[in-house]
Amino acid sequence: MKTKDSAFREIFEANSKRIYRLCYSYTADSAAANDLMQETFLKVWQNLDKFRNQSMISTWIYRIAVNTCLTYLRSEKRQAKDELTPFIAENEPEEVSGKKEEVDLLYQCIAKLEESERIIITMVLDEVPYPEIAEISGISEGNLRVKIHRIKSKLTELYNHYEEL
Amino acid sequence: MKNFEELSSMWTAQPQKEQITADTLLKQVKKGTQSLQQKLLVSILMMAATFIFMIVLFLFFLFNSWLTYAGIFITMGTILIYAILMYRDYRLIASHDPTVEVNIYLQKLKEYQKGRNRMNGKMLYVYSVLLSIGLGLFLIEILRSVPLLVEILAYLAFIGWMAFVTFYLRKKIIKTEQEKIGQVISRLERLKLQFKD
Repeated sequence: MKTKDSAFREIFEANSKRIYRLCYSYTADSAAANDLMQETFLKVWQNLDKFRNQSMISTWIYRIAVNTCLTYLRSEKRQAKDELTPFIAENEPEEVSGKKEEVDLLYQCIAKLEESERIIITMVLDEVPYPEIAEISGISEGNLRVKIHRIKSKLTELYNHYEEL
Repeated sequence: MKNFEELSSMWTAQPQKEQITADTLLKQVKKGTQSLQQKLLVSILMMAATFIFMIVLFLFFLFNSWLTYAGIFITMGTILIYAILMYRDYRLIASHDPTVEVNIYLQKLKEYQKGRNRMNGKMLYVYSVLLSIGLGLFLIEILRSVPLLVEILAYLAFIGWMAFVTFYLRKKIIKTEQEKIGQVISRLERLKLQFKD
């Protein structure tokens, strides 16, 4: 039988990167994303005994992470910056590769989406299966497909718009 | 112009940032709350050491004036009462593990914050006054044999130090302590808000 500590370590290894990306897409700030990721896993650890396999563990962790991010945004009144280009220009050193800038721009564009859109698109990008996304976001699978299609277009449009600037 | 598939592969290929390990994460959470306890414990131990020193003075040194003994007793009594009250606060937060019983810990932390506010308010002034009286009485006999100028300077230094601690250092320490408690409380409250399971 696995101990709580070893179970937690496994869960952390398997999910921390995805959760960090999710938190980063909400905050566009790596320090805040790290804090939120830590808070998410602290709650996972505290509630691990209560997890009864009603859903997949990754679904459960995603839910906790989304709640953590939303509570953070509400309590801190932190919103994504309105002007994307100056943010990137001021914060990135010149030698940083083009790929890194592209990824940063992608995160900035995700941060411009609505809260519910952000969580859905992050899961789509992380290749989470549709039934699982539907469960986490509380939307029927049929509606979800339509919504995902719309978010994909919106994100692509946003990205191309800011890339041209 | 990029299409969504290109954005998706950009997302998949993004460089991974270095992340902390599970063990470090748990250690960090515990560290924030343990530093509060440790500071309080250090203060209690320092008070205990002073108390023992006063007992040694009382038992092994012979003083001529009753005022000196009165000073020793007032100082000892003040330190003892204050240390007991601090220990009560220490027990309040030391008896629970914040990473296991977050709700109980949060409640205890709020009680602790109230207790510290009370201690750092009027109680600290009473403590400073009693301590000043006690040490002042003790100094009368000790400084009797030294030249007048030294005696005056010693009293001035003593009064200056007590005033500095009571009116300046105290405010600074209280502010830092309250900020730290406030941070831990808001972090735990944010966690508590999410307890829906």
